[in-house]
Amino acid sequence: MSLKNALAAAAVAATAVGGAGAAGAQEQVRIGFAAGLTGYLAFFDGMVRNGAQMAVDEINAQGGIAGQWPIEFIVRDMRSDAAAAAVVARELVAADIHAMITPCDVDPAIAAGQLAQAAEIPMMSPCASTPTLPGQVGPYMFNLKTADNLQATVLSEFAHEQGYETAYVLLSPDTPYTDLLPRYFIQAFEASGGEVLEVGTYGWDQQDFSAEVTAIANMEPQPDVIMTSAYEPHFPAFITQLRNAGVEIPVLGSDGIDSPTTLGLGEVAEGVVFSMAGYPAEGSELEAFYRDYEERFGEYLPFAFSASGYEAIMLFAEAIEQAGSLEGPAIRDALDRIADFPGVTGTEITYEGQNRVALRDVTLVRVEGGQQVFLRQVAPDPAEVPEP
Amino acid sequence: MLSVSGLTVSYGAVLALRGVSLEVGRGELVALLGPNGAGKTSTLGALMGLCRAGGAVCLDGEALLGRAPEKIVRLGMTLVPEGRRVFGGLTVEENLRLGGAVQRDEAARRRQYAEVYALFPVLEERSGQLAGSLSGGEQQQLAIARALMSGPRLLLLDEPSLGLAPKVVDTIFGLIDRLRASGLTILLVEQNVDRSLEIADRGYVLVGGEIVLAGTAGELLQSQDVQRAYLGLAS
Amino acid sequence: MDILIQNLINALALGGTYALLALGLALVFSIMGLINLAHGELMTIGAYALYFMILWAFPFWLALVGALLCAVVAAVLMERVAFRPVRDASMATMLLTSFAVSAILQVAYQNLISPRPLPVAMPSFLGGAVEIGSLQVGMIQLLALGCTAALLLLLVWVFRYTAFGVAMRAAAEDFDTTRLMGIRANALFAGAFALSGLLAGVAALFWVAQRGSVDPLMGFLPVLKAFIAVIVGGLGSLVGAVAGGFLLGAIEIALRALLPSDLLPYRDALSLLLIILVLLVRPQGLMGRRREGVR
Ligand SMILES: Nc1ncnc2c1ncn2[C@@H]1O[C@H](COP(=O)(O)OP(=O)(O)OP(=O)(O)O)[C@@H](O)[C@H]1O
Ligand SMILES: [Mg+2]
Repeated sequence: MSLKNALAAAAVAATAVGGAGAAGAQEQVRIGFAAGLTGYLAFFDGMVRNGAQMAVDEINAQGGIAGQWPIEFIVRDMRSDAAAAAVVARELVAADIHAMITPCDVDPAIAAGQLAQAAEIPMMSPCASTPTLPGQVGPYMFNLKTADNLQATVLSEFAHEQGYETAYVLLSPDTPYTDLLPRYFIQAFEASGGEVLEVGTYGWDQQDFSAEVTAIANMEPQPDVIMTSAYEPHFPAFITQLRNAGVEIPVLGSDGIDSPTTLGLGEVAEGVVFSMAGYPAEGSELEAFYRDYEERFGEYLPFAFSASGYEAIMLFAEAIEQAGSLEGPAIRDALDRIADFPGVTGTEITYEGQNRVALRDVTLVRVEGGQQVFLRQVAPDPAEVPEP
Repeated sequence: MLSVSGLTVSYGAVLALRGVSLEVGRGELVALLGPNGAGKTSTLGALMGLCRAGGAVCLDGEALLGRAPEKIVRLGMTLVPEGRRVFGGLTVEENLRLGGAVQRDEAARRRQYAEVYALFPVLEERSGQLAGSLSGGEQQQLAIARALMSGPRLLLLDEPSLGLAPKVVDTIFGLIDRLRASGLTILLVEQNVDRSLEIADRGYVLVGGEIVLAGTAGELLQSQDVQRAYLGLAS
Repeated sequence: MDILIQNLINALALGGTYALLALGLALVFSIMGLINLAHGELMTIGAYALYFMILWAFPFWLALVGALLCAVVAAVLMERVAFRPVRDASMATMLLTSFAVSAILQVAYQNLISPRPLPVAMPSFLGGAVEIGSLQVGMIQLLALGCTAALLLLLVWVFRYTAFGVAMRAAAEDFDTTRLMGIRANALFAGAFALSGLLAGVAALFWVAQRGSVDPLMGFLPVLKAFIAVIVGGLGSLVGAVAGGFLLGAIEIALRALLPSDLLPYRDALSLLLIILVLLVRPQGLMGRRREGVR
C-alpha cells in the first residue's frame, strides 16, 4: 500500500468512526494464487494471473463483490516447482485467504491444494483438466477447464461423424493428462462402436518418434485416425516426424496443443483437429476479452488460460455473493450449486451435480494455414462421457 | 649455449629442485646423472616450460622461464620425454610429421625426413605402422627421431635407456654418440652412469634437488666412490 | 522386412545424431580433461539461430550456415571466456564451471528469448517422404543420414590427413607431449571447441528438423544420451564415441520397436541395463584403452 492510499484509508476510517461502525469495517476478500511466474509454467500462469487481475479490477471498480467485498488478489511465485508450491500455499493460507487459484499443472496443484483443503479454503484449478484432480485433493477443489473426459467424448463424437472407424492412440503414462485423456477417448470411441487398433506409448524423455511412426506407417490395415493428447515438446516432434515420413492419416489432439507452437509448425500441423475451451469468433465475448487483454498487457494471446483466470475469479465472486458469507464451507457449498454460469469463454459452466468438475461446452478447431478454424462448440452428451 | 642458474621447482610443499645451476656449451654432450627422485625430470620440465620454476634459464641469451613449451621448441630446444611418450594411436609417419610441425618450409621438412630416415632406417620400414605396435627400442628411436624433426640446436634426452634390453641400450647410446658427432648439442639425463660418461664430455650429479658434483666425464668416471655413494650403483 | 529396414534407418539417423554429439564431447574431454556439461547449450544456440534467421526471412540455406556458425563461435567463446581460466584446475573445478555455464545459458535463453518452445517450420521441400523401392523414407531423415555419413567421412579425412587433424588426435592421446612438438595449446583448445561446436550445430539442425520446436532445455536430453555414448564407447576414444552413439541409437530404436506394449514403459531402464551389460563385459568401453604406462 502506498503512503497516499494509507492516508486515504485512514481518512475513510476516521469518518466512519462517527457513523455506522459496521460499514467502516468493510471486509476484503483475499484471493490467493500460487503461480508459476518463473519456470516452465510461466507462460500459462502468467496468462492466468493477468486474466484474473482483469476480473479483480472489474469487480473492485463496482465496489467489490456484491458491492461490499473488494478483492485483494495475492500472487506468489512457486517457480513451477511442486515443493515450492506447497511452501507458497502455506504462506497464502497463513495470510488468511478466502479462496485460492492453484498452479497450471496437476502435481503442484495437488501439492498446494492439500494445504488449502486442510484449511477449508475453496480452490479452483484454472488449467488442469484431469477430472480426477478434485477427487484427489478433496471437497474444496474445483476444476474449471474442459475436463479430459469431456474433450475425449467430443473428439470421439467428431471421429464417428467423420466416418473414422478405427484409430491408433498415442499416450504417455508419465503424466495424468497424457495418460487419462487418450484412455477416455478409447472408452468413448469403443463404446460407440469404434475400434482402437493399437495403443502406442511414449516416454516423457523421448523426442524421437521414428520407431512409433514406422509402426504406424506399417500398420495393416491403416487406422482411420490418430488420437493423442501429447503436447509440447512431444506433439510438435511427433507430428513433424509423422508427416515427414509420408503418413497422412488425420490427427486429433486436445487442448494441450492450444498454443502458438502448434500454429507455427507450418505444413506438418495442417489439418490437425483439436479440442479446447472456447473459440474467439469475431464479435464474440471471448474475442472482446482477448482484445481487452491485448490493450492492457500489450499482447494478443488467444489462448484460454487468461479467460480461465478471469472465469475463476468471477466464479468465486458469484459463489461468495450467493453464500453471502466469507466462510470457506459456505463458499464451497455455493460453488458446488452453481449452474449455467455464463463464462467468458462462451460456454455455460455448471458444477451442480458434477463432483466439482465443470460441465461445459467443448470447442473443436482445425489448423488451417497456421490459423485456428472454428469447427463447432458442443456440450457432450452426458450419457457418453466416461466416468472419471 | 644453455645456462641455468638457481633453478627451483616445487610441487605444493615439496621442493623438488633447490637451486640447480648448470651450463651446456655449443656442441657439447653433457650428462645429468642422479638416482630416482633426484629431480632430473623436473629439471628438464622446467627448462621446457612444462612446470612452473624459479631462477633463470638462458638459451643463447634468450630468457626461457615463463615461456610456453611450444614457444621454446620454436627457439630450438627439444625434449625427448621420459618413457618415450610416442603417440601410440598414430602411425610412425604421423608421429614424425607432428615432430616437424614447427617447420614452415616444406623443403626443409623433406630434408629433415631424409636425415631422420637415414639415421633410423627401421622407422622408414615401419612408417605406416601404428607407433603403439613398435618395440620399446623402436619407440625410443621414434621419440628421438620425432624430436629431431623440429631441427633443434639443443636436444634434451630424459633417460633414453629406461626399460630397454642391454643390446638395445647399446644401439641407443650409439645413436646419441652419432648425433653428438654430427654437431648437435645434447643434455642427456641418465641413470646409466658408465654408459653415459663414456660418450659425454662433461657431467653433473644431481641428488635431492641439488647438484652435488660436476666435472669432466673422465673425472666423474674415476670417482667411483662418489658414484657408489650417490648413485647407489653396484658395479 | 520393410519395417526392419525402416527401423535400421531410424536407428542410424538417431544414432548418428548421438554420435555427432558424443564425438564433440569426447574431443573436448580427451584434449582438455573437461566433461563439458554445457555442450547441449551449444546445440540450443544453433537451434535458436536457425529459428531467428528463418523468422527474419533469411534464405533457408543461409539460416543453416548461420546456425552452424553461431554454434562454432559460441563454442570458441565458451572456451575462451569460461574454460581457459580454469584450464589447469582440477577436473572437479572444470566440471563445476561447465555446469555453471550450462545453467547460466539456460536461464539466459529462458529470460532473453522465451521459456516456451518456439516452433521451427522446415521449408516444404524438406517435408514429406521419398520412395525407395517399397520403402518410404522421410526426406529429413534421409538428409540427416547422408549428412552424418558425409560429415563423419570428412572428419576421418581431416583427422587422418590434415596437420590439424593429426595434431588433434595426438593431443587427445597426450596433450603435454603434443605441446612439446611445438603445437600451440591455445590453438588446440580453440580447435577442439570449434569442432565440437560444429558437430553440436549439425546435430542441432537434425534434432530441430525432427522435433519441430526449440526450447531452452532442448539440449539436455540428447547430450545426456551422448554422455552415455561416450562412456560406452570408451572415455577418451574418438572412434569409440561415434560407435557408442550408433550403438545407443540402435538399442533405443530396437527396444521401442520390439518390446511388447506392456513392457514399453521400462524401455529406458532396459536400455541402461544393456549399457551396463556392455560395460560389465568391457569396463573400458567399446574402444577404450586400458590406461597404461607413464602419464
Ligand atoms: N607432479 C608431481 N607432483 C608432486 N611431486 C612430484 C611430481 N613430479 C615429481 N615429483 C617429486 O619431485 C621429486 C623429483 O622428481 P623427478 O621426477 O624430477 O625425479 P627424477 O630424477 O626424474 O626421478 P626418476 O629417475 O625416477 O625419473 C620426486 O621426489 C618426486 O616425487
Ligand atoms: Mg625422471
